[in-house]
Amino acid sequence: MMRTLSSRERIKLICRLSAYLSFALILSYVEALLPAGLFIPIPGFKLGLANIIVIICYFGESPLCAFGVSLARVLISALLFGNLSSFVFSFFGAALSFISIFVVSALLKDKISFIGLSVVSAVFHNIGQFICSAFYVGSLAAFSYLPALMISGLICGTVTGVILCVLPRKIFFERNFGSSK
Amino acid sequence: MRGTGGFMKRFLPKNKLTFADVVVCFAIALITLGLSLSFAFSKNEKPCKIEVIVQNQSSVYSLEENDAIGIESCGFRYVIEISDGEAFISSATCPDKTCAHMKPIGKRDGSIVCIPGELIIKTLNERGDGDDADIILP
Repeated sequence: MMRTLSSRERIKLICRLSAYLSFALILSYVEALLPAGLFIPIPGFKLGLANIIVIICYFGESPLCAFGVSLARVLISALLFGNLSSFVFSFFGAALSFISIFVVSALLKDKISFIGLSVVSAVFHNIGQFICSAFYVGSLAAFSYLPALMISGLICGTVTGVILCVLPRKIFFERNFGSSK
Repeated sequence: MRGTGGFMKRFLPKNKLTFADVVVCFAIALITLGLSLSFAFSKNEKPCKIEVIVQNQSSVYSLEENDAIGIESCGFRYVIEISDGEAFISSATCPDKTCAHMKPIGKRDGSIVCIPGELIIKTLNERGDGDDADIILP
């Protein structure tokens, strides 16, 4: 059950969420600078580094906070580097990715690792974007390209999952239980 | 205590590969393989024409004659080149120019779609059946 936060705790939470959002935006920008397409020649290929921050926020804070950070990142990224269509695509991808994290973590709980969770999240991010593109083009033809992006989701999800695995678990526990010990 | 509460606090995913991870990855790989095979075997006829759709306005070009088609859409300029039975975008002024780096279509079934410019290029066979689209996400 969600407890009421004091004004001091609320301010701390807002500060932490702002830091998450800033990190996510920086990673989005760094990702845009990386010539990932040179190594994996799939159009639309992205590493999804910002997903690392969303997952940290998900388990470090709460699913609701992670959703807020994810939505704010998509909106600010579109305002800074993209346009309306990039916002709609990213929103669909981020929303489906978030739902997949929620469902998988609720169903598999401690049976799954960050690698599996990241892979599912990356693959569903691509599926979300393709559902959006199917509506945009008005045809299911877009799905012919889906296998290539599912493979890229598998690769990128593994990369971000490994990064999450090597991060010290302290960064999650401190947010949850740090000062209670 | 920090955080906003919720059921997720009681656990963290493991930081080592688990059996569930392997099952999930294997399932995704299997679905991908199934989708790839179904797309690979669903098209057999060699395309002989391309359909260029610009903002819902369609025009058809033969793949048998070499040509260079200049197109303007949504403020972006594209040059579609038809050469040796293949069509490709040789130059584009869209933001990321990903469509210009796509593999040529014609010898194989396929399509090129540039969403920022609302441009779709599809292969057509003798009967005029269209093909699937490769979507360039913005």
